[in-house]
Amino acid sequence: MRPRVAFAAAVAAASLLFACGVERAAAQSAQDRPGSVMSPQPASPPREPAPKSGPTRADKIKLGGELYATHCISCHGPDLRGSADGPSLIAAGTAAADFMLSTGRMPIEVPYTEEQPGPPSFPADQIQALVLFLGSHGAGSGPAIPVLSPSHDLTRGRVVFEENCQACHGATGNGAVAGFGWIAPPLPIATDEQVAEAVRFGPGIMPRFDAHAIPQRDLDALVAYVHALRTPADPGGWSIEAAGPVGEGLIAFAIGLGTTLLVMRLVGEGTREEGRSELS
Amino acid sequence: MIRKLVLALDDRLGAAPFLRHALQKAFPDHWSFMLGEVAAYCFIFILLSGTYLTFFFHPSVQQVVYHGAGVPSLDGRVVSDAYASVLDLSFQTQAGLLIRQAHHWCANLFAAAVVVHMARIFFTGAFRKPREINWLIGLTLLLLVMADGFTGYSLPDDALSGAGLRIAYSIALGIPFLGDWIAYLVFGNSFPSPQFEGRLYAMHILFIPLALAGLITLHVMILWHQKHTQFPGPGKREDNVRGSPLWPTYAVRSTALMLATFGILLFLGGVVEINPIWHYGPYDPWTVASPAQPDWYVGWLDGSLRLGPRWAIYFGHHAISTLFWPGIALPLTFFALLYAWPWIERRLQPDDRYHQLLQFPWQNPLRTSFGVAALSFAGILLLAGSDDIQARLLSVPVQSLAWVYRVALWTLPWVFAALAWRICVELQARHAYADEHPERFVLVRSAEGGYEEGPRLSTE
Amino acid sequence: MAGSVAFAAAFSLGGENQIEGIGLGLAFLGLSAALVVWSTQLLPQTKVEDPQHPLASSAAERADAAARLEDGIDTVIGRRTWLVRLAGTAVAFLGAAALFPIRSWGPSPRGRAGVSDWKAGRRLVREDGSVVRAGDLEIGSALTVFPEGEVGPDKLINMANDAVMLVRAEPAAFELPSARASWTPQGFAGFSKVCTHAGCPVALYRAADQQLMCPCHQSTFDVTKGGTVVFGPANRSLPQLPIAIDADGTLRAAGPLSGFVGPDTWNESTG
Repeated sequence: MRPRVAFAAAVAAASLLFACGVERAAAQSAQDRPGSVMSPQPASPPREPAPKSGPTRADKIKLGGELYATHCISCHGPDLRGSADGPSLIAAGTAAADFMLSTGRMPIEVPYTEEQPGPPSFPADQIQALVLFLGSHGAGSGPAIPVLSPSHDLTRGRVVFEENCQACHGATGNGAVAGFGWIAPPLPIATDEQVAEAVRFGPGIMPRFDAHAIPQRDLDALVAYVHALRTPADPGGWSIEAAGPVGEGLIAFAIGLGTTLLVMRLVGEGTREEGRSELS
Repeated sequence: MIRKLVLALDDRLGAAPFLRHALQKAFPDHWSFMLGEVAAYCFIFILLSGTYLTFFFHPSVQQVVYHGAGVPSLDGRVVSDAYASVLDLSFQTQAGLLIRQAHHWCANLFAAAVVVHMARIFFTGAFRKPREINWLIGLTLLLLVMADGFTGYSLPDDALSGAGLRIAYSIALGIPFLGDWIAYLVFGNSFPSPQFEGRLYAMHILFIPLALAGLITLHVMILWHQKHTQFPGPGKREDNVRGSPLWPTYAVRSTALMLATFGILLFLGGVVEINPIWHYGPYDPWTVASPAQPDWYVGWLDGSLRLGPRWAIYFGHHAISTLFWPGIALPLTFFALLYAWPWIERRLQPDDRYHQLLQFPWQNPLRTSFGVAALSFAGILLLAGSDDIQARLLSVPVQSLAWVYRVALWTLPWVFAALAWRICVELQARHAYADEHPERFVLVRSAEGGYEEGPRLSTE
Repeated sequence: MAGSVAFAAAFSLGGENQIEGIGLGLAFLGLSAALVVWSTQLLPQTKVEDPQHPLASSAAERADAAARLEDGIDTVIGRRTWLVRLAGTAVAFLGAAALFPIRSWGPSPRGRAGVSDWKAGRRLVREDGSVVRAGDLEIGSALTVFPEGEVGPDKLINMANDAVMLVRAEPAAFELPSARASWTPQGFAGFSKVCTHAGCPVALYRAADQQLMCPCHQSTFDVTKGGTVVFGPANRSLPQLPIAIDADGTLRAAGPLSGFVGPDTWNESTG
C-alpha cells in the first residue's frame, strides 16, 4: 500500500508547490504588468520642414526626386501620372505616400497585386525625402500627413472605432477578411501616424475619412484608442488569440473534454479489462 | 453513527431494503459509460455557478452610464444595465470573473459531453428496445442545453450576442404561417424589443433549467429502473448486468470524475478567457464587428446559414425567405431523423427483441455508417461557420471556401459513410475468422491472473 | 490532498483571476487524482452481478391493467356520450379562451416588419442628430445615417430598421436602371444597412470596388448596380434610398426605401 500513498502524497505536494510558484510569479507580474490604461504616445513632430543643420528642404526634395527616378518611375510614370503598371499619384496626398512607404507596402514587386505590410524599403530620412518630393510635384493636393495631438478620450475613440472600423478590422483590431481575398490588416502593427494616415486617405479597399467625416479631435481619440488596443485588457486569462467563440469551442473540446476523457479512461475499464475480474 | 442514520431513515421511510438494493447495484465499468455522468456533473456545476451569477446580474436593458476602472474605453459610455452589471461582475466582484468564465466554459463542455455521450449511445445501439424513451428524452435534453446556452450568452446584451439575437429573430420571422406572430409574441415587439431581456432571463434561469432538471431526473430514473447496458464479453449475457457495486467502488470513481470536471472547469475559468464582452462592446443594431460567430453548439446553424441556398419563393403577399431552408427546414429534418432513428432502424433491420447487450460499432454497418454520415454532416456545418477565419488563416478568398464547403456538405458524408461501412465489414470478417478458427488462437494467462486471446505464434 | 484544498482556498480570495482559477482548479483536480488512485489501486476490484429480467410484465397483469383503464373510461362515459361531448366542448372553449392572454405578449406584426421611416423630404442625419451635407462626405467615404427626427435613445426600434449606409462613389461608376437615374446625385448612394439575409448590419464598405459586405455570412452587394447581390446567401438586393441634394448642400431622401427592409418574412408588405 505504501507506494500508492506516496503517489497520492506526491500529487498533493506537487499541487502545493505549483500553486505556490504560480502565486509568486503572478505577484511579480502584477507589479510590472502594464495596466489597461495606456497613456498615449506624444505625437511625432510633423515631417514638413524640420529645422535641421543638415540638408535643406530643397536638398531633400532633390534626393527624393533621385529616389523616385530609381525606384518608382517605372510604375508611376515620370510625371507621377502613372503608367500601364501603376496608378497616378496626382492628388494622392502626402499621407498616402508616407503610409505606403513607412509600412513597407511600396515599392511593390509585382504591379497591381495587394500590397503587404512589411519592413520599409527605405530608411526614415529617405522616406521623408520622397514624401517631400511627391508633395511638391503633384501629390500634395491630396490628404496631408495628419498632425496628431495626444488624447485621453478613449471612450470617444472607441465610439468612432465601433462606428467606422470594427466591421472590417475586428472588435479588438486584430483584422479580418473583407471579402474576395481582401484582408483588413491587424492594427497593433501600425504606428499612431500610420493609423491616422490610413484613416485620412484610405489605402487599398479601405474607405477614407476626411476632417468632415472624422474631425481632428475624433481622430486623436481614435488613434489613442487604437494604440490602447495593442495591450488589450485580458483579465480572464489567455485570450486564445482573440479567436472568439471558435477558439473557445476548440478549447472546450480539447482541454475540457480531453481531461474528463482522460479521467474516464483511468477510472473506467476498456473492453478487454472488463472480462478479467472476478465476481465477489 | 452511520448505523444510526440508516435506522432513522428506515423508521420514517422504510428505506433499508432500498439502500440494500441500491448500494449493491451493478454498474458496468466501461469508461465510455461515464460520458453521461460528465454531462450530469456539468449540469450540477452550471446550476451552482449560475445561481451565484444571479446575485449580480441585472436583467434589464435600461440605459445606464458605465463608470468602472476595469474598462477605460467604456467609462462614461451609455450602456444597458445588463451589460454594465456583467462588467461590474467581471471587474469589481471578487472571483466574479472566475465564476462567470467557469459557468460559460461549463456550458460549452456540457454541450460537448452530451453530444459525445449521444454518439456513444448511438454507435453502440443502446437506444434499442427498451430504451427508446431515454433516447427521445436525451435528444430533447440536447436541444434544451443548446437553447439554454444560447439564451445565456445573449443575456449580457453585448455586440456579438446581439447580432445572434437579430439572426434568431429573422429566422423566427421566416417561419411560414405563424412566423410573424411567433416573432412578435416571443420578442414582445419589433427588434430590439426592450421587453425581451426579461423574457430571455426567465427562459434561461427558470423554464429551461426546470425542464432540464425534470428530464434529467426522468432520464436517470429510467436508467436505474431498466439497468445500464453492457458490452458483450465473458460472463455477460442478455439476462444479467455485471459491473462494480455502486458502493463503495463506483461511487468513488464517479466522485473522482465529478471532482475532475469541476476542477478543469475552474481551471479554465481562471486561465483561459471566454466571452470577453468588454472587447465586443455594447450592442447597437446598426454596428457589428467581424468575425462574428456564435458558441460552437450553435455554430452548425451559423454554418448552415452561410452555405444556405439562395432560394426564396414569392407568391402574392407571402414569401418563403431564403432563411427557411438552412435555418428551419434543415435543422427540423435533421433532428426529426434523429428522433425517429430507433424506429427507422427497426424498419430497416427488423428486430423486436429486448437488448441488454450493446453492439460494437463494427457489428452494425448500417447504423454506424448512418451515424458517421450524420456526424460528418454536422461537423462540416460547424466548420463552415468559421469559414471567414479559416479563409484568413489560409489566405484564400472566403467566397471560394464557402463553395468548397457547399460541395463538401453534400458529398463528403456519403464518402465517409461508405468508408465506415467498409471498415465495419472488414472488422466483422476479422472477428468472424477468429471465431471460426479457434485453433489459430490461444488463451494466454497474464501475470495478474486473467485470460486474454491472442494469435498462436508457433505450433506447440 | 486536504492540504492543497486549504491552500488554494486561502489564495483564491487574493484577486488575480488566474490564481483563483489555478488554485481552485488544482484543488479539485488534486482531490480527483487522489480518488482516481484510491478507486483503482486501493479499493477491491470485485464485481457484482444483477439479474436482468425483461421489463414486460406477465400477460395476465398487462391484460388486467389495460382492462382496468378501459373499464374506468366506460364507467365514466357509459351511454352518456353527448354529456361527454358537451364537457369536451367546454374544455376546448376554455383552452381557446386561455390562449387570448398570449395576445398581450406582443403587438400584432401587421405592417411592422420591413418598414422604415424614410419618406420624401426627410433629411439625412447622423446618430447624434446632426444633419449631413454634401461637403461632409468625400468620394470613397462611408457613413451611417438615419431619417431626421427618428434618432434618440427612445427610438432604438426605429433606428434599427431605418439605418442607411451612405457612401459616395464616382458618379460615373454607377450603372443604375433608368428608373433610378436620379437617385445618386454627386455620387451619393444610400442603402438600407439591414442585410436582406438575416438582418445583421451591412457595415463593411470596400471603397475600391464599391461593394458592401455583411460580416455575419458574407453577403455582398454592389453599390454601383443598385445594391444587387454579388455573393452570399442573401437573395434580394439591398433596398436603395433615393437621395436629393438641396441648394445649400443638405442631403434629403427623395422617397422611401426601394424595398422591404431586412430579411423576407412570411407576410410581406407591398413596396
